[in-house]
Amino acid sequence: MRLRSLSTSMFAVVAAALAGCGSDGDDHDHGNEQEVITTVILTFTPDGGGAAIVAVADDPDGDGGEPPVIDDVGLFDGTTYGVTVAFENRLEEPAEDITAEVADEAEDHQVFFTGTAVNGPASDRPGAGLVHAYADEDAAGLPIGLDNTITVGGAGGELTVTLRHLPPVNDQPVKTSTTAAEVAAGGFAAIGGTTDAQVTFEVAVAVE
Amino acid sequence: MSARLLFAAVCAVAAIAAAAPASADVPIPDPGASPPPPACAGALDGHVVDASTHEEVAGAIVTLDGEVVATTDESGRFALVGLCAGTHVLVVERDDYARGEQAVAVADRAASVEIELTALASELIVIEDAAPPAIDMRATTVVSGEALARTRGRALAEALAEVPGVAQLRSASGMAKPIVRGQFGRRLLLLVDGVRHRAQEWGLDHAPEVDPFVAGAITVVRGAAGVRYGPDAIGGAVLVDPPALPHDPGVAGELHLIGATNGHGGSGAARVQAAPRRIPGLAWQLEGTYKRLAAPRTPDYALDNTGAAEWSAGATAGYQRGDADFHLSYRRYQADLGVCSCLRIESADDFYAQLERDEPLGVERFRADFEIERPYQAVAHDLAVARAHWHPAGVGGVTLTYALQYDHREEFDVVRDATAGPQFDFRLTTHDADASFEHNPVHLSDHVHLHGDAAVVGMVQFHGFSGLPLVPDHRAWSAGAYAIERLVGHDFEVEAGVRYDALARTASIARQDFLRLVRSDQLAADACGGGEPDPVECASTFHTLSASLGGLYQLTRAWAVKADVSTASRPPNPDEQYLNGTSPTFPVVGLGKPDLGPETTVSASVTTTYRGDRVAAEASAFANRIADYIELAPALDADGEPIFDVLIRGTFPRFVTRPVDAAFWGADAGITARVAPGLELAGQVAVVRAKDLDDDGYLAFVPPDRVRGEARYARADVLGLRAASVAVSGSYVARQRRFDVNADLAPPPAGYFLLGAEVGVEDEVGPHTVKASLVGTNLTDARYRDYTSLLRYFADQPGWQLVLRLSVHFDATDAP
Repeated sequence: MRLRSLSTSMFAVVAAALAGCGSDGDDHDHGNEQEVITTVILTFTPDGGGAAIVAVADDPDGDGGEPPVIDDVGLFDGTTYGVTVAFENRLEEPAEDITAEVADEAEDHQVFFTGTAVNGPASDRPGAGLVHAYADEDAAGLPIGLDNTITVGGAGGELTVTLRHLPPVNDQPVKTSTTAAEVAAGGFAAIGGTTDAQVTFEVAVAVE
Repeated sequence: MSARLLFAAVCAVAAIAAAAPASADVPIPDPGASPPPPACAGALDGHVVDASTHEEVAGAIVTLDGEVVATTDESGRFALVGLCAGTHVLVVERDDYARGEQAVAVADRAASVEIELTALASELIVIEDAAPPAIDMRATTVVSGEALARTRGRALAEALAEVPGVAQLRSASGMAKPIVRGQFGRRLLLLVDGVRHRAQEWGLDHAPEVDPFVAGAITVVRGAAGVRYGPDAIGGAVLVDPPALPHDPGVAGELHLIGATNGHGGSGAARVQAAPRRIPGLAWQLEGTYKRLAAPRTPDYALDNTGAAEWSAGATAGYQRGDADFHLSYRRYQADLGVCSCLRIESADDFYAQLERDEPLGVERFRADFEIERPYQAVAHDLAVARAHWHPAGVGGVTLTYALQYDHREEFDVVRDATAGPQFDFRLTTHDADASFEHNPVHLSDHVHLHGDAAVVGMVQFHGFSGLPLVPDHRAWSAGAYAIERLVGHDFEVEAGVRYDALARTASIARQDFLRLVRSDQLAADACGGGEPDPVECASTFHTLSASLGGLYQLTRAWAVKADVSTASRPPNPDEQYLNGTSPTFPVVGLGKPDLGPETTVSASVTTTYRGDRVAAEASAFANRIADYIELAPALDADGEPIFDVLIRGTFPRFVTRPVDAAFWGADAGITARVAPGLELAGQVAVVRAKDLDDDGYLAFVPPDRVRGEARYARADVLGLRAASVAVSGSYVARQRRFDVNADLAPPPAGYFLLGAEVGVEDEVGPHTVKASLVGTNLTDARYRDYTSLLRYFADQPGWQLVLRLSVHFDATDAP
């Protein structure tokens, strides 16, 4: 709780009055307290070597206006990919890297892979073409989802990547070992926290 | 628990007993009105006025042939019946006037007389007492004295909950803003110390930044009141008036301590007023409040993180000399308000999934504690007022007012640790200045006087934001003038007013945000100079006209009817023009329309009031037709289907501000009747209907029908105490059956009944008056959701609660 002193507030009034009279208010800094993600970048690196496939979902004008532009993803059947997820805010110049912030607070974040093309911890679709597994963990040993493996073994479809912020409520953790399974069973509505990013890629699978 | 149930049962029985006779006609025997003998059928209506100003003289004692027969009322009137024909001697006396004596001839029919009193020369002219406030032509309710004392510790909107026609728009932080006849926020004016409260009233979850403890009286004017208060007073006006400064030397004050069980916590408030003996005419006042409340509990779970920490402080000084007086005051209000952790508003999917649940997700982690964590709002409001009043004899009164307000609102979301500050940060600085002139009543005939006032008003305003773009920086100025004249007759009053306002506003929109409005078809690409440079300057100017005509007819001394017709135009608010982003209240993308025009309302109301010795009642019916009513509603495509925006966080419905033709109509009524010595029954009822006339649909946030009843028994000299009272109350709010589920996002909740009770005592401890009361609310621990609460999508309202209130009033002034 912040109780400012009366004299400070008196000063604030006078200062505001002077500022209000003296400037037209255009040139002040609008601050950088926005927690905006405009861009989600998936990088698929084939296990056996070869060129990495990069798919970007980008909403350069932020909320409203133009909808995000989302790349289609082309993967090869029978291949296992290392998949990294990166987040950026491209409203800033240069673009702000959000991935490091997520990694720093890994205990409060998790990336989920769902959609018709996905079978994995958060998507219970046996026989789906993309088999997802987490390849990283936070200090508590729970998956983060910035590093993953996807093994392609069937048809494509939708791949939805969701970054969920799961901060504790009253010091009791919201991110638990069963969170992914709860998403698989009941969707995102079944878990706490808030969605920081959620984009759906169309995945096509080619037979090599 | 069983004691509580027993208490609840007793209260329920009493509430039913209270509700039944409230609507019935209560016969009112009038001890003075025994049938006169046939020979004495004369009647006399009298009106007592000041000889020089022609203002009414209230409280004067009327003597007929040496016998005291009446006292003049607030309008300076008295009525005598059963007079025998002949000539009588009428004497009228008041301490500060020379004795008035007049011989009147009475025949066997009604006659009327006006008596002029000449004021005695006095060092101190007490202007406040000389001019009682004019009767409003609309339905008005004044909450003051005991009724106001019973609301101490409550927030402003809650303090008005017993006024008929007033409902609350509750936010997810437990705070609320008042709704009067279906209008709130931008269409309901709030005046503090006569100055328009200038704040971010556009936000549904932005409760007014006003501590109701500053009030000595709160007046609710229901119905369009655009001429006097400003063209946006479509729903009416709430006037928060501080108590008058003392005139008599000495010190007086009051102290209030309030403790509550749900959310537990308490508040303290104190006011000290003084007039130093050495400097006649000088008076000052200090006041302060501190409140700390934990999150409340519903019957089943805690409303996690809805605690509040609030303080306010104010200082006023006044100096009166001759026919001039001066006022300086400064008040600050500051609050940290936690927002319920139960909200699920950051994704449309989460929001809609929550609607299917009986209780919030994760309630097992919820606590009813004091801690305020993200998300929360931190608000501060400063108000400084300087006022000078000059009342030269024989002319009238001139009042000059300057007010400076600084409103600072910060909203803190749940964010990653790397982000430290608020996500929304709005700063609004407003300078208001006005000059008003009230001419002395013009004596047209013995019974007809003309009262009137006129004013010019001006405003300069600057708005700045940091953080997420939602409402852009803007600056505005406005100027206006109004004149109101009132013809006051013996048993009628007619009032007419006209007002003109001009408003110019320029918004500085970041080019990126401007282009988004263009891409969403809310703005033409060549608007605002084609969108160059960055930021884009979008200017708009509005000219608006308001006019009103009202009348009052006094059918009997106690019973009057009033009618009022008026028109006013309200320019769009900055958010309605420039809103641009995801709403912090709902998971929707909200977009303004920069080229909106003003909305124009035509309204009419009929009100009847009864002020008898035992019964006070008021009933009012109203209708408003609003052309180009600006609403924030789901955007529809050419086929009438809702538009959704794909964001990087998923898919959100798009809401836009758009003008539609709307109508509001309804009725409200209140009655208080003393049915037996000490026993008072009261009831209120309110009905509001609203329609979108364009598509024959319904409007959002129109309060459902409600009825309230109360029985109060008070006795003096009981148990060795000076006074004691007990009261039970019940209120029923129906389900809103008229709704548009697309605009409301979810069907309305069920109706509910709430039971309340109160026990109070009053005594003297030494020279001080001490009062204590214990108040229970929602005593049946009803599980309910309120249609006009933002919390209703996520969680229930708080369960039962007890509040203990203690107050001490001391008075060490030289009052006679």
